Amino acid sequence: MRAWCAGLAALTLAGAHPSFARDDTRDEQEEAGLDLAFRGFALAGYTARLGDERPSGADDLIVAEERVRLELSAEAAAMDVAARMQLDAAHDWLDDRVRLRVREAYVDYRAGRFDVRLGRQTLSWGVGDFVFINDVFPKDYGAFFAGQPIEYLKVPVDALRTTYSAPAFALDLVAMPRFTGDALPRRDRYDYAFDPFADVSREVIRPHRTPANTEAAMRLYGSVLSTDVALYAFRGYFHAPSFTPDDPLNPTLLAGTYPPLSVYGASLQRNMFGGVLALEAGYYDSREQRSTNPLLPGSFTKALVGFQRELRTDFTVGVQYVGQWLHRDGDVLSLPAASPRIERFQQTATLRLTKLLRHQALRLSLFALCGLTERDRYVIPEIEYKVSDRFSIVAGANLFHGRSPYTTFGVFRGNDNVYSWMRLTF
Amino acid sequence: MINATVQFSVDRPRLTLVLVLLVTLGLGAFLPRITLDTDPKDMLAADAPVRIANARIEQQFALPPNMIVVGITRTAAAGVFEPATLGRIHALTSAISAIEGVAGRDVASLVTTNNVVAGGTGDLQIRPALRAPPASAAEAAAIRAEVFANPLFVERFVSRDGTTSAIYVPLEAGADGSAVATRIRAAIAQLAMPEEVHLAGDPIVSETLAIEVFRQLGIFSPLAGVLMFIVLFVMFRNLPMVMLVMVIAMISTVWAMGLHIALGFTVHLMGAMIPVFLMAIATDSIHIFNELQFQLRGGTSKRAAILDTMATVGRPVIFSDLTTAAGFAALATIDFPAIRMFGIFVGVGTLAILVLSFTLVPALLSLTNERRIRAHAARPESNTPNRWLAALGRFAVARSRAIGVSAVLLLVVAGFGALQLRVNNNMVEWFRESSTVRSADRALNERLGGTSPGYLVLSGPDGYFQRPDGLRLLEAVQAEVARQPNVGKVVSIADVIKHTYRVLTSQPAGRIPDDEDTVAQVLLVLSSGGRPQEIDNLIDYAHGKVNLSVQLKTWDVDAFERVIAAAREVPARLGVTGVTVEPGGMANFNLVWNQEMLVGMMESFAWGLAMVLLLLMIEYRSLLIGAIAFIPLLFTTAIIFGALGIIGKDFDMPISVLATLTLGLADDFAIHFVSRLRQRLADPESGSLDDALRWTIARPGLGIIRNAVVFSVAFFVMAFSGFAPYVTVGILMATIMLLSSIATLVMLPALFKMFPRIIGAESRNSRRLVPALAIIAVALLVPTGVRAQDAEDIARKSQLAFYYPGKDFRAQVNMKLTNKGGDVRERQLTMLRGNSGAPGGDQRYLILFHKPQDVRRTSFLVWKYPEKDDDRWLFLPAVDLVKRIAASDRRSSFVGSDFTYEDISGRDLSADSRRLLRRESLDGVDCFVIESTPKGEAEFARRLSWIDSGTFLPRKEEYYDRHDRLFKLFSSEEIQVVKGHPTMLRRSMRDVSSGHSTVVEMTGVDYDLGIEDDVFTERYLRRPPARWISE
Repeated sequence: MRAWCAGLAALTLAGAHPSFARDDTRDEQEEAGLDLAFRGFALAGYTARLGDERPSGADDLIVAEERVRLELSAEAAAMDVAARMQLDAAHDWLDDRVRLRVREAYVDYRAGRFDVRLGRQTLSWGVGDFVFINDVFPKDYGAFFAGQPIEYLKVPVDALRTTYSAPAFALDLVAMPRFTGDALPRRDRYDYAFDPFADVSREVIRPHRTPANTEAAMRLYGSVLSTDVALYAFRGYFHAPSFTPDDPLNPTLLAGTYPPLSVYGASLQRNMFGGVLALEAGYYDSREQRSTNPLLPGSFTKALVGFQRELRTDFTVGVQYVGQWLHRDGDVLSLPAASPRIERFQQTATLRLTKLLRHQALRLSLFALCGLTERDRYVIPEIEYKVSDRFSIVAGANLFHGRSPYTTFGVFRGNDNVYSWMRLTF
Repeated sequence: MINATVQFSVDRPRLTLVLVLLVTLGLGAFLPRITLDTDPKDMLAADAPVRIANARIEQQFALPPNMIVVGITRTAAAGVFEPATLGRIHALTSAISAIEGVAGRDVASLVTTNNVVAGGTGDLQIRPALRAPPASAAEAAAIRAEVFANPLFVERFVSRDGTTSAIYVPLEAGADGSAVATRIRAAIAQLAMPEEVHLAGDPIVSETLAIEVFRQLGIFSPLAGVLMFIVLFVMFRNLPMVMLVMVIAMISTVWAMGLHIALGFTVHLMGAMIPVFLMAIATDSIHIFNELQFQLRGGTSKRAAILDTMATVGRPVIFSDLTTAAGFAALATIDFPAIRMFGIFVGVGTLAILVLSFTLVPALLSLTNERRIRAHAARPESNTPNRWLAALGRFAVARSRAIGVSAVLLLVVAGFGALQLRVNNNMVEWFRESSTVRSADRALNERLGGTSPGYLVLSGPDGYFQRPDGLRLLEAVQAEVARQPNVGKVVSIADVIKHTYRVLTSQPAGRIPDDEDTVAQVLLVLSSGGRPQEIDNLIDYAHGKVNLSVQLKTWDVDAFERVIAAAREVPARLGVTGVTVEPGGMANFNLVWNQEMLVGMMESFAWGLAMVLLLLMIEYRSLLIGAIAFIPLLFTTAIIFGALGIIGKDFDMPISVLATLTLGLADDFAIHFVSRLRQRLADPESGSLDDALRWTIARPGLGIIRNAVVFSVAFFVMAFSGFAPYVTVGILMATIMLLSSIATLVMLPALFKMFPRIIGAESRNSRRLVPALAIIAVALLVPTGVRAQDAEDIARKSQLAFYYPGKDFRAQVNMKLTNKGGDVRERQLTMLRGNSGAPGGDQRYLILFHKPQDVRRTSFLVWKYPEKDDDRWLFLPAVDLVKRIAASDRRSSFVGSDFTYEDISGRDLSADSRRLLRRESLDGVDCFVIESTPKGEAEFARRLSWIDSGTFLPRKEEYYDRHDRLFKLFSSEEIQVVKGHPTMLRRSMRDVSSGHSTVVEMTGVDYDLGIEDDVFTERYLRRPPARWISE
């Protein structure tokens, strides 16, 4: 690992070397000044519960907050350096607290074939639509289930990202020294239909920040025969914690850990049948010995086939089929007797309809995720209207359904909600 | 070079095979992309003056470009004036008016066309004769009386004997005539009409023509292939050799058609005949097999025999194929795109055959089992034809004088016959006598005023035709026209005025009112009568132009020629000046088509003659020998023309094309003959000239006869087709082949015998190939290059000028979207464009959004391909994700503006068919006005573009929907020249129905900045290239 980092650093430095970093055709007269910009938005979002099930003491609202985003960016085009900082200040009515958060803060540097981004940043890749296989970067499902703007699904990470772009392919290398996990739906806001350890206190231990624990992700991508091809690799940890009770029969404490994980995958995407066809697959290698603890997640392979097409003008349909296959390391049968049965092969289908109206100022969309194996559903109808170039209003709903409380969305079935938010950019 | 090629093919047959297959597969891949155009009108260039004039007349008088005539005949007692029949005519008219593609409100019949009658109270009533189905026989009789009282109706809507009534069904611009016809037939079937119903008119003829051409081709080209196969097998008794000819025919077809389609040319009616021609031309390789058989008999090894054969027949094969190609290429000088393409690609196919003869043929021969080739060569009976030919040789040598005299006599007779040739074209007569097209046409022409519509437009000063003297002139012209043979109904505004005036004044006979005011009143009454278009069809608003609508009973073009001449003569005779007569309509189209065709054919015939003669002289390095080798060709042509004149066959389109084709084909045999004769004379073994001649007649002569027979048989099958053009082609081609082979084998020996000194031994010098090839290349390319601009050409230039200037391009784009209420939304973006291919080819766009705020830093990458869906990627900075997005619908709005993706990066040229309507001045700028009609689904049904004739940038575009309503309007508002490229800095698009509009302004425009290719990749999509961007 250390050697790997050193190599990366060497490459970065080599790229930065003026002898082959800069092309000399550059227009010398270009102003060498610093370009500063200050922007942002104000956002007010409210999510109201539809059902009666709620965690004890929880409000009718799941989210009620006003938020201000300030963004400061500076760019020195002459030096190919840019920096950006995004600061969120949110007043949460439910906790009655003001939270400050640095969403992004990074420096970009471009030298020759290298692009480097250092700092807190959002990272995404993969070809799925709300189905993540090789996109292992942390996510905030609490925000997602409450219908908050899509950018809040992604949790920014502190990372160094280096991109090497050759004419025929490009390589992304990401090093994330500080572990960031997924933000799970908060137990004081969301009702979990199945929670055998509902009242037990939990303690989560993150991986220590040591060079060896640095998460690393790689993507090698390019275009072959009009097809976007990518290979992915990741070495790090599961981003959702696994909880182990101190005493399975009479637990007093749930110890959460993030088990080590490697992911290897690939994706293809191209125009076909008048639309875009996407294929993605990933092998999740749970590196922990499961024999020692059957509650830890097993290895599995996940793959998707997606197709999206503009059926009529401004009306797009997307469908995906996702299959997930649990591998037989540390058999599922050895789970505690009370645990629900887990299907070895799970299939999911998604549907997305998007219709744009009124010169694309009005957007109607429907997203549905249907567990074919688990027989559960998650449906998001949403409507967005851009009142003006600066002001937009969104309204929608998150509808969960599942016959069994043990399933991915069945566990949230009491949390149907409607939401609305307004955004004013400046 | 040729020898090296042959040697390579013989030594590396498998590699040669693979190479040929690769080329074939590559070109064959384009075959499925074929686009067909079956409208015979499209054989004429879109900007041919006649098409422009017709379009103008149609527009001036709101005339439909095309019309179907539906005739309903009932021969029983009361004719059509019987309640049930009238009821069905009523029902059919409404059913037809509702059909998609029919200009519903212009359908003319007893049910819709206004009649002017005196009302009960003495006032004037303007309403159709057949308003509602009559309830009783008495009512029907009343309608009959009313209809026959109006001279305008008789012979137009009702036959004189009352047995036939007609419905005139005009088609909307761009409507599919055959689809409409099908729907009309369905409507007729639905009404279960017991009456006889006929459909006639140009759309029906065109429809049937298209179906017929392809149907017959489907039957006869395989049949010709099979026959060729059988004849070849009988001749050679050698399956591999026969298969080889067939393979050459097929591969050359794939090459020629593949290239035809790959270059993006639409295949017209003529183009469909290319495979048949290539099949016939491929028989030229018979000369190779013929010689190979003789060589193998000599007992040499197969390899040596192949090499020797190719060395011996190589030159004649090259030159006969080249002259064939040149003959067809001569068609490229013609002004008909369809014929031009046909000529060029048969030429291309012939060159393919030539290439294959020196590659594939030796390769396959060397792969074939030696015994199988040899088996036949040794057969003794294969000498049988030789005996015949030997006798022929003896005869030709001995009776040279008699042959010469007979030839001269024949030529005199032929010359006399040729003088009798009548140039005429009659598309209807192309069909079998009993075909529905002809019987419907005959039935309607007998009873009604004619199915072939022509127009004569009389133009005078404004208001002239509101004056009694103007109308009297019109009356005189009309009377003169009506006197001409084959003229049926003639209608003008004078008839309408006379009839109305008569009803108005209750006079027994109609006449022109004596003063201008009364005429004006009558016109006013008429134009307020509910269907003003009936008047608009006959007179323009300013009353300075009138349209004389002439229905002809024949499709013979000279009928209309006489009509025009008669009409033109009247004003002069009456001493009226300042009035011009201009023809239009389908009849005129056919007339002009004919004349142009003849001129064009004559031109290309001259071209062809010159080219072939030049080639012959180069080949033989002698003016005299070249000229002699030219004689069988001249002789054949003269005899054919003479025979046509004598039997009275019209010189029509198929024949005129054939005349040119004769050039390339008829000379093949002479080339083989002369070349081989000279080779023989150079051979020390040869004895006297007589011996050499006899040898040539017996040995290469066998090849010539074999070739002629195979060719004739293949084409002669077409004589059994029921479709006149094919019969003509079939018989004529067979005749040409037989005649020219005989002329070669009989006349050439006689000539050489009479003038023995002109023929000398051949000197081998292959450098002569180069100028010959250069001539072919020039012949193929020059005529196509120097043609006048047609609509396609203008559209292509416009696309290049608008979307492709420079190697790359950058601009800051500011879009203002304004809705009806005046709310403004803004989009600000930087656009970078790079042309990665040739002009008109692939392009890449990188678009970076700056405003509005919520899409800031969003960027968009497009790799645009002219023939397939774009690759598009979108970068969403909020989640740092590059998404490939679906791009099948290029009609989607670009970022919510009134511009579509297509408007931003250009619409595929192949997506529309277009025609040049006219040239006109728009705000002082000379513009071509082009009408584009989408071939597939599109947001518009029709688009008119005003394209600046100087810069080729569009100045204005009007988009019409399916109902021909204007719904979108594009206008160019500011054009400046940037780095030598005229650039549209400001443009707007307005949605006429919603009132929404978008104005696009570009600043910081620059070209040829040296934007690198890699800028158009994901890297710069994620982080814009600062160097090219300034917000």
